[in-house]
Amino acid sequence: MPEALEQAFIKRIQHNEGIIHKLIGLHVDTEEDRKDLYQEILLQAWKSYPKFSGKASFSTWLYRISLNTIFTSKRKSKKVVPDFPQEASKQETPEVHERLYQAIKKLNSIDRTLITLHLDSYTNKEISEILGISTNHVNVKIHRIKTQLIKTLKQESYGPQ
Amino acid sequence: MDLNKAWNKIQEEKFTSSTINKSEIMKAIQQESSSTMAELKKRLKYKINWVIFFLIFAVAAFFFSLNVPATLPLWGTIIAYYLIGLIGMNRQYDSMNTQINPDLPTLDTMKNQAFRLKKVLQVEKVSSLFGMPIVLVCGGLLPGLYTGKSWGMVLANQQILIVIIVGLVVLVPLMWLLGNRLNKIAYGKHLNELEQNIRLLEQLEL
Repeated sequence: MPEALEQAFIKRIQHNEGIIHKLIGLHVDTEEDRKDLYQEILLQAWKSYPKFSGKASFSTWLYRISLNTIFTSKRKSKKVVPDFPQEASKQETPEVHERLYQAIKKLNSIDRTLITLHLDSYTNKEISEILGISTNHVNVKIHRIKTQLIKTLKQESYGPQ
Repeated sequence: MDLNKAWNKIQEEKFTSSTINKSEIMKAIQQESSSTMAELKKRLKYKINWVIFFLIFAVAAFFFSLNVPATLPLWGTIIAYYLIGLIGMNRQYDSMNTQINPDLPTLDTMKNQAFRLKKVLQVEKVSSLFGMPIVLVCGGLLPGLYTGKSWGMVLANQQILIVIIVGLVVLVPLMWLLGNRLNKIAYGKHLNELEQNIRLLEQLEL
């Protein structure tokens, strides 16, 4: 492949690599699987890059490749390494963003994907195109997940009511 | 409660990392794919090579046994079995795409993967179901036929028949179950997760 294409690809990946880190961080539990998947996503993106038409933005295109690679990859390791201690000390209440992160990680992988796409400012139409479902259902589902997350966060702050 | 604000903080703290360097990207894009489909395809290729090896062996044995005509139907059966198996496996191999299609939505990608995975495992299941009895029967009858005995004499040998029947009743199901179990260990969890995620996405449509 021409060097110019290679350079353009590297530049775009460097600019958007946060997407890969984020999706792997949210969907993969072990360091070994994370490393493998990171490399596999880069490889898949590179293989498909010559066909990238620019119809969608590069970030949306990379998001889709990353998601599809993650969802179709068999995990090798079983050991789960938590991102931070599950039980915070009794004096400290974790900050809201830490609790939100944990609450999102506890969702099933489809709900997790829906809410992260939404929080990443993708429109419902874009989300429906990425996942292959209808826009109306995306709308309803995201509303439910958000309500559930807010309820969970409130319960953790004030205790069950 | 502002979820977007909290999400931005998560992104800043957890997902912002130092820029990946060029050599790391180059290394990643030059490696072989480690995807599940690539792994399965590699495994299938390995099996295809073995089938080709056994097919060549069976064809050679057929021609070397032309002076023992009683053995030819057995060698013919073995050749036919390996040929059918080879065609089936090659078809599967050609249809396995290790490249993610960026134009396909996640739901369709998962459905394709689950379908392909099940198909390959099914081909393995069916081929082992027929293969083991064929090998067992041929392995039991051929030595007798090569000593110049007729089919009638070989089949009248109760010892051989008992070995074949016990093998068919005990060994074949046992090996079949073992093969299925190994495939389940290797791909069962992944297949379950795929199917569960497909169901979850499809349920959104209900």
